[in-house]
Amino acid sequence: MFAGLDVGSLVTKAVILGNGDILSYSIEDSRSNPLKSAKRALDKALNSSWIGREALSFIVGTGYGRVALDFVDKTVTELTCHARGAYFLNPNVRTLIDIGGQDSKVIKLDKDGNMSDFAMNDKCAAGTGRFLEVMAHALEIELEKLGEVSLNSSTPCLVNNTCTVFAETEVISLTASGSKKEDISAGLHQAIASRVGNMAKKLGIESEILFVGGVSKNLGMRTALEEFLGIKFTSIEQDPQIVGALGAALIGKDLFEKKEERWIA
Amino acid sequence: MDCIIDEKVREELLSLGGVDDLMGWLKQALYQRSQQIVEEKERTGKKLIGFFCMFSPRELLDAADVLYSFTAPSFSEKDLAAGELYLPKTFCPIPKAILGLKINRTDPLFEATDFIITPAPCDCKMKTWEYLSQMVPMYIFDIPKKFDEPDAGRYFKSEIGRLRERIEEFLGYKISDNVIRESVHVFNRNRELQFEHCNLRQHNPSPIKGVDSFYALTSDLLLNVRDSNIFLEILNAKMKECVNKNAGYSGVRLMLAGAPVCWPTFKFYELIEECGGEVVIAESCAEARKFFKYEDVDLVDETKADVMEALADKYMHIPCAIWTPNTARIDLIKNLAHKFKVKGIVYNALEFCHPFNAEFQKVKTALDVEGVPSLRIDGTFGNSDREQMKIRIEGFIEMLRRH
Repeated sequence: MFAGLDVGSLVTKAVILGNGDILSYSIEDSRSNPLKSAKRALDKALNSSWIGREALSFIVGTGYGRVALDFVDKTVTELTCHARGAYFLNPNVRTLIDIGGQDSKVIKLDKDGNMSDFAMNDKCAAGTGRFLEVMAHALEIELEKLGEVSLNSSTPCLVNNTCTVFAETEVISLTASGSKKEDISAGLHQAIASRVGNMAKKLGIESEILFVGGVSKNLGMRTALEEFLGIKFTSIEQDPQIVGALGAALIGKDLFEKKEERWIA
Repeated sequence: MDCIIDEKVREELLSLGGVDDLMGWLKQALYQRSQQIVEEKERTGKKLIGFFCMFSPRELLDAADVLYSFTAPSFSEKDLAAGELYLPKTFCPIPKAILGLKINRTDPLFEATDFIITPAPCDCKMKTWEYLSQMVPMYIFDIPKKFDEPDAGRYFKSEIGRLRERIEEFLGYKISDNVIRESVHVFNRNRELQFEHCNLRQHNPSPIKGVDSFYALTSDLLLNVRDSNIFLEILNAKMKECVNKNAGYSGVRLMLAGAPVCWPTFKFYELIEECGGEVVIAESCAEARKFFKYEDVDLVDETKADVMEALADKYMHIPCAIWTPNTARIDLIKNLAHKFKVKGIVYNALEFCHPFNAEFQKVKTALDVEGVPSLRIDGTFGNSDREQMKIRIEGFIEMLRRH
């Protein structure tokens, strides 16, 4: 059995992989210590499938916290892991959009599931989960409800800023001038959609298109991105937040079975 | 300007074991160089002229019998902040750091500089020089943007002519054409050696680390060019031995392209190496841009009757992103990608370096056709974005390994 650990900036994901299917997974908050969060997520996932850590043949770590993981067999970037996970879930996927807590990325895949190009957002919170978190706070809406609220908007506000600091000020002025929460929140989703969407357009979009990461669970964001790009996302049955960790586990399996010598640098 | 390599030092260098030992010697020599120049100035009373940018014809300085040196910006937060006393936050860090260096008076070499010659290639440099020229005497010359128009060469020659007059005026004596010709000859030898050095890096495995090659190819910016010539002769010979033995560095072969990589910042080289890549050539002012489209060494034509025209011809042909339309730079990059058999290109998109950053999409489109993947890295000279840069480079190299 194999494990993949994706230590993100806000959330840590663990996936336990059997001979070809996901046995269990867990999603935990990343706290200040990535090593502890990773161990906690791993133990939780192991517990829910009644497996001991000794049954794991190979563990791969990924995500921003990967460098802190001293107990894993190998670390791989979340770019490669996401590509591997997406290909496993649907081999027809050619474009992958991932919006996480700290960054957003677009990955292009070839027909064999190899990453052929990618783009990541600028090094700031614009167009990420953190942006939505700050805006939800400014609007006094629960983060989980933000997307839902935005869908009730009939006339979305135009939000000009995608910089988290400036956008928060803009949200406060919009609220003060009497704009409705649903219109502001719809405007915020559109602002992110145009930012991330442009990154995808620049890279070139090819069907099928998969939207993953924590923010992909936000229905308002899905809708805004689909409208901006004029496409429909492919649906998967799996939790879209664990694709990176799943990819890490799959790469561990490939490596263990020596299917993929090229991984070993 | 004094040389530091005499017969004794030359023999010492010849007796060193290999490329690494030679580079160890060079790095130490370069780090001591600023102080040496300042001391020589105190001893001889000669004037010290500084220059920025590869468009500055150093043959004129060499022939003028002065001390001359490239001024390296420090990129310290303190200097950048000082630069912002005059310049906007959203501004290229290269001229900003140079201005800050002057304001803070932190660099003894810069403080000892009597006069500066520099082009005004881009808007950020041009506007910074307007402030800097109030703090230190400068001559700023222009570079035509439509470089292959018939009049451009004539105009550039007249600019170089005025530059020479201004240097002569500053020094109070004339520089003779014949002495300029002698300097051209020495600099041409340096170009040949640098070109040979780069060509040796086409070999796989590469006989030298990317960062070490960067040091070697900028040795002429601080050392007397005659010292740089002797050093490169010895280094190239050692590199040939490595090539014959098939020894060297075999990381994923990459080209570094884009905005200037300034001495002494090696972040890109270090990160690429940490991630298992090897910079085998850089499309930068310090490296391949010296050779126009990299078709041949592109020397100053020594057979031309008018030496100023020959100089103008050469110095007009540095494919900087300031040109329009800039097909020469695309030709250069494509040519390098083939000759150096690179697996991918890492593009340095330095913050607020608009000309180079804007050209990325053009470069990427051209390389996509050739099947060479490219990665744009938005970055600074500081260390705060190191990890964010690293994840992108690491992911890119993982991708190339499977390519």
